[in-house]
Amino acid sequence: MKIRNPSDFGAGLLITGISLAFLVTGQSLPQGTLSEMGPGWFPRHVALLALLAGIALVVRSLARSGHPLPRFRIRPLLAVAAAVFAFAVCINRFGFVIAAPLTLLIASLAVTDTRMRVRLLIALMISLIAAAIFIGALGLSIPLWPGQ
Amino acid sequence: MSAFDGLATGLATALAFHNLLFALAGCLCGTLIGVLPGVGPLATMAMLLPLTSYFPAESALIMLAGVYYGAQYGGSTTAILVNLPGESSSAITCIDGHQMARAGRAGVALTVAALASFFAGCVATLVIAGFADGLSQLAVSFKPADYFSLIFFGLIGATALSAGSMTTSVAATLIGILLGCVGTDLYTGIQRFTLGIRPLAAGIDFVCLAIGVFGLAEIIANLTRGAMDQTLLSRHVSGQWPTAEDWRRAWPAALRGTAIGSALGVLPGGGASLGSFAAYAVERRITRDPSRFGHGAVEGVAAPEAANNAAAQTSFIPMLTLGIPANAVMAVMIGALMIHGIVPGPDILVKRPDVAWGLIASMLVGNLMLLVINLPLIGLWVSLLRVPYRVMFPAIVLFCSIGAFSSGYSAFEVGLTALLAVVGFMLIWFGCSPASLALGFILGPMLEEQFRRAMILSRGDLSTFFTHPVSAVLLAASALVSASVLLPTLGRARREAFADETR
Amino acid sequence: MPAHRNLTLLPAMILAAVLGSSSALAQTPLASVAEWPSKPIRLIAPFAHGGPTDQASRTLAPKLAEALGKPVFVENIPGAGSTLGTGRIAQAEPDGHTFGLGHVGALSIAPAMYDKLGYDPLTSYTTISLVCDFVNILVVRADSPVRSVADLIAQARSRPGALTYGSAGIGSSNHLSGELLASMAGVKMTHVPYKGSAPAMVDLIGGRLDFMFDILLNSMPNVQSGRLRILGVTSLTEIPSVPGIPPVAQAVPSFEVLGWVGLLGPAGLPKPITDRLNAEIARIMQMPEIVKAFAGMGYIARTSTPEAFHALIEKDLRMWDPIIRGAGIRAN
Repeated sequence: MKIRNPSDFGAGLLITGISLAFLVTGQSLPQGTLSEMGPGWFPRHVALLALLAGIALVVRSLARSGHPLPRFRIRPLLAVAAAVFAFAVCINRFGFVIAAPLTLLIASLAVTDTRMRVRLLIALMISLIAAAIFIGALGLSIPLWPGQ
Repeated sequence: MSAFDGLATGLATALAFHNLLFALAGCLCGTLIGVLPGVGPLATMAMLLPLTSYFPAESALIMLAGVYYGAQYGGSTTAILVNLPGESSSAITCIDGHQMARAGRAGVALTVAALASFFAGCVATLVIAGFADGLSQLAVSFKPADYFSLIFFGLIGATALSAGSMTTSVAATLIGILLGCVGTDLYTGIQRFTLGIRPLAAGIDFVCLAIGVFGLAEIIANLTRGAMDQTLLSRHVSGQWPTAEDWRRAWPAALRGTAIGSALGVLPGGGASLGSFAAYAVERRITRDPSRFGHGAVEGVAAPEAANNAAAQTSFIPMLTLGIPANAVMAVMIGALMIHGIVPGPDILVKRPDVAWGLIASMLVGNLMLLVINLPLIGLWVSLLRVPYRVMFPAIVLFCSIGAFSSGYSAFEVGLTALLAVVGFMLIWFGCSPASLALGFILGPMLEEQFRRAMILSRGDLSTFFTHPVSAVLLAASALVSASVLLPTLGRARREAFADETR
Repeated sequence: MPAHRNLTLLPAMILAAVLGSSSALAQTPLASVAEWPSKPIRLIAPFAHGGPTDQASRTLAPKLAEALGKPVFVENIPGAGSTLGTGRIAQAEPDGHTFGLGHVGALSIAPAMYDKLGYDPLTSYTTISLVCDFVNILVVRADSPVRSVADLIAQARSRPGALTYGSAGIGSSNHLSGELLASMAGVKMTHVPYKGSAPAMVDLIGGRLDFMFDILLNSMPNVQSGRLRILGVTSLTEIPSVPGIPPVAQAVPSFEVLGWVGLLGPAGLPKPITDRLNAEIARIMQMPEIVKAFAGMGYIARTSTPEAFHALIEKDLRMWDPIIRGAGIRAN
């Protein structure tokens, strides 16, 4: 069995997975009937439809040809996700002064050919500008320093 | 007082020098707010609210209104430039708007968006002046069954939003609906899909979804495809002004979008987003060449932009005539009126024409002001795109994180945004459209809410959807649209199956 | 080469961690009240932007800032019926720089509805003072055949479950007022929840609902324009802002629904700070401009001792618990 359409295959798997997750998580919700819907009725039926769509995509990917996917590198995905995650972890504990440059540095790791000095410099500059705009000019209550 | 007299009075108020300054302040503030991801006009308006007690009532309203529709303009800017919708109603602009930017036509896209919004804003202002009562009657007489069928129609009509296949866009829409169901059930108070995580009890914030699935996922996709050593522009940047061809396509689209947005904006709760989705879907349906959509069709920018600005203006109608806010922003406006001891209602147009007509007239002034402010800025934005991507993208990632944090001061939401970015990237990578996801996310829960409400009110009688005329018509239209889409697909699938067999 | 480059990040992260933790250690506990406040103050408002409770916080904040000499920032943390933000107040450091507004919904109603709230309304907080209270009003369409509360009850009795009323959501004040009425009058009525009062009001005006409880602020425009009619107020006596309207208690004895909002701090706040704040609030809530501003939002400005506020929370908790459980209102 050859995967003729990798993007349909991937989409199908992803969608099947997500709909299964919702079906499983929503098992305990009361269903009710169509005219007296419980909280579980609507999500379950939507998830079932999504599951169908996902399976249909997988089946179709084996039957019909499509364009191959471009080459996948995991580095940008990891770098950007880790950068945002780092912000989440650091902002309350360490404040903006730590979280912002850290986020910028980690995000910049998505690209391999910059020198660390350049990265640090850019990170510091952008952090300063961002602090000036968001905390200074707009007055958002973002903790600036650690322990605030 | 006839509408013309009213407008004349209003213009006298709106063009007073101090009110012009207030309008300018509001518009500038609003545009900046709209450009920054996550920071919405609501928070800003709420912050400004106590200050407004020091100003006269009409000045307060003019400034706050300026913030609101200024933010719409700003939100469209980021939607086009970096695929980040500032408001839920700008999500649609991302589709073709960002593609135009990638093709070097960011300037044209921004200009078309600004002009379409201006046009829509002016027409909608006239609509308010002339038809406020009629439209508010419409809002009040819209039953849950009608609302359900309208949303259903919108969902069906708009499911073919992506350039990809029907199945993938339907699937993405369904996933969006599921994500929208996360949170507390309105009718029972039971938590759904929250896994016991308390911050999820309020549901997934649209800001997190927009930032994750649109903005961040797009960045990851760009980097994975290898855009690092370029700027955001892949080719020669064209001039700012639309070509004759663009004009020809765009202005009827803007007209249609204005009509749709004006009508839907008065509906309480979600009318504005519905408007831009519906306008896009209509353009896609009636065009001769649907393959252009999703790749930078100028109508795909003109129509939704016109719709969302028209809806932003007409959403003032229930506020002015009924004292009922169509959305949270209008609630703030009512608050501003109350602070000044003015009670909104149909007699506001008569009792305080300076305030009511002043506000309406200032919308005309405000829209013009925004055009004047934003058109020259387009050159600035486009030159920003020349900054090397390797410097831009970490900055955008940081701004996105800040935006996700500041909508609820919650680190959890930032983490959630990161997760949504991963999921969103995978969907994009495999050819699904984030706009379909957003559509499902916004409309799905509304669909459920209206259905269940219609059932409670009809005591479980399903025929309520067919006995109410508006609802019946909309459902019939949905059936027609589905048939017109499915039959050719089925026919093609059958032909292909036969073709394979005979090979 | 790549290995070398990535290692330079590690010392940077270690340095960051050390800096962060050392400055956290350097924070000494509050030395004396004379130094308080030593930095800007956070006022947590567990409400969505723009609503009357949010506006109340934003009206109060600058006055507090004036009184204390340091900026007071309002932080909106909406969600889960104001329980999310209320929980954050309990989690804050009791160093006198974080406070919040506690709403009757989160403190006296939610505990009966939710299994795990993340806070205990009686022990997780230092109560500082009541800030305002409000009543609900019972409204019907102007052309409704129902002329009084007694009429409403009679109709509900003759057609069980036929009368519908709207609310801003499960567990909201309008919902619970309706449940209380139904339970005390011994009738059955159908509750229709909405996302907020505004869409409910639209359906009431449009004729899809029979009646509704709501705060004065939301209904005022339509009452004044003649679309809606007030049948009763939920206080035990008449109130000045709606003269001539009888209390619901006239038709249903002892019926009372009073909502309130008060200032809270996390548990363990030093007494001098609590006392000082209480005194400031007492002064602020008597300022004529504040009374007027709050009245415009539909609130009656109040003040109380810290103990009286605590007692109020407890009294309402005990009052609502059986009603909520009896009506089967659960949100797990």
